[in-house]
Amino acid sequence: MKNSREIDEIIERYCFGELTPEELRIFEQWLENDPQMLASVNDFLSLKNAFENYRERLALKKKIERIHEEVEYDLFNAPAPLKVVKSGKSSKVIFGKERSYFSIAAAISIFLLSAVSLSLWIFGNGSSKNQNAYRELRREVEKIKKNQKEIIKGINADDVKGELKQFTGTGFAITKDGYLLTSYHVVQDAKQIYISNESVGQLQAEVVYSDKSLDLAMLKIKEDSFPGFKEIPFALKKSISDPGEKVFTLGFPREDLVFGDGSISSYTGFEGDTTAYQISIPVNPGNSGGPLFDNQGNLIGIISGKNESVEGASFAVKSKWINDYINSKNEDSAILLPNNKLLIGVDRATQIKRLKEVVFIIRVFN
Amino acid sequence: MNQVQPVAEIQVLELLQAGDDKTLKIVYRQNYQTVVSFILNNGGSLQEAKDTYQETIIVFCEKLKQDGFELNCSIKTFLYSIGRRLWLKQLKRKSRFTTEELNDSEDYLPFEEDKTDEREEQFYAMNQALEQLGEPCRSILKDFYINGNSMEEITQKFGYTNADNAKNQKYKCLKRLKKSFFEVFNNGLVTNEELQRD
Repeated sequence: MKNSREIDEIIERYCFGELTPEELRIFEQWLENDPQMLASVNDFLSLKNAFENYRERLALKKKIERIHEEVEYDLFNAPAPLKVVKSGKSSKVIFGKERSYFSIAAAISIFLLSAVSLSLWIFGNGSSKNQNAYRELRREVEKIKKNQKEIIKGINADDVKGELKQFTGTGFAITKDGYLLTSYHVVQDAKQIYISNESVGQLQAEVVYSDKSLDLAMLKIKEDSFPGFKEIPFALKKSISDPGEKVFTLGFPREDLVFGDGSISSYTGFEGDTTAYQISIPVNPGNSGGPLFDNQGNLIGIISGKNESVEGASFAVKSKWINDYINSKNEDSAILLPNNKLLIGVDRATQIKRLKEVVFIIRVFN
Repeated sequence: MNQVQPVAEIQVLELLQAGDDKTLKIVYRQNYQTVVSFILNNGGSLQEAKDTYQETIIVFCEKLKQDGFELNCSIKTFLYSIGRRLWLKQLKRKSRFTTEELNDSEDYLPFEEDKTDEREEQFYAMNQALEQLGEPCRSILKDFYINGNSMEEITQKFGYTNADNAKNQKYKCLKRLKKSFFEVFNNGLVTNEELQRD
């Protein structure tokens, strides 16, 4: 009588076709007379089948994971567009070109003419925002569409339409219990919002309230298990900062946190918008919603957009307006605005070390 | 539902059936949002959505290989239908599925139970069983039955004094795996009726 291990080994060898002809003959006879043995053989065959299936699927899974990695950037990182200000074609080009053909007098008259048309343009657009100039750069996954067209010509472009789009932007925490601020246009029409950074991983958030004209949105982390932030290291500055003051921002124009610095260039934003500053930090899509800090690490604004035709002219909503807006919404004082002085007199690297804990990439599905 | 399949898609299918990874990449990218959004809109997390979408693609690849495979709708509808069904099953497994209507954004095909379903369940059961097993059993069985290593290699790798000791260990491990595999496989089956009842 064989023990159970030996029987199992014979079954296994039988299923793998490893029995000698003599063994096979005896075993098959045995099978005929022992239904329990037959059941054991069938069990092993199922198991063997499951192993094979598992192996195949694992290989396929690996391949698909690799594909995912290759396309991940395109899938997740269509950066939330910055609001981009684009002035009409300037007359500079015509002027420069024509000068060689015309007399000085003619050049002057052209100059006067363009000066008049320029001033007309300025006054004409003084009250309402020029639709063309103040374009919201909702950049979709154009790259993907283009590549698809290149590789498979004629594939139905409709397949891409109607899909939910994804954008990324930047946001930052203002309370320990998980209230965040970002730009309105980052989370506009969002169905799902996820925030993530190195220290908290990925968390789901929702819009608590938002204001289109200020381009401001407040989010709240939705996750019950979220333990809260250790600290909000900065203070929100309630007064106006002055041109010339050094400022810096942290944001996610790509997957990793990027630091940018410059100074306040003007008290007003695009077309004299008094709710915003003009700043000299080069920003890119994905920077939208990022915090703007002064030298002491006080929050003085939120990055909202840039001027496409002027190099290094970006805009940020002033913290004073953010303060007023939150206070107007926050009658029961549920949201305590941050007022910590942990960044004053600390060098920039240390400031950033503390700040990066509360700055997030925001992924939006809409 | 009775969409006419664009000619280009037939070519895409042929390329996929020939195992063209470049095309698979395009299809993957093109349909990601549709399926992922569906899962996000129906109680899934981003991770779950991604995992389910990848499983969707696996099932799709397997279906493509089946004899007499024929697609009567767009690839997008097909993938959406597979993803939808997989997610329903997932919700069943988690038993947090309510009678609430699913939030659909696309047309979908009601699927008949077929071979791929069994393969799915098999894979799921095998995965569960291996996970429950613990070490060194998991690695020994994986090395032998999945990676195709010989008993000699396993004896050396795991430091057994001789091949018979290693064989004995493998035998014990397999016995345990078998038990939990069939437990999961026989209980875990979500039948078609169950899916349609709700």
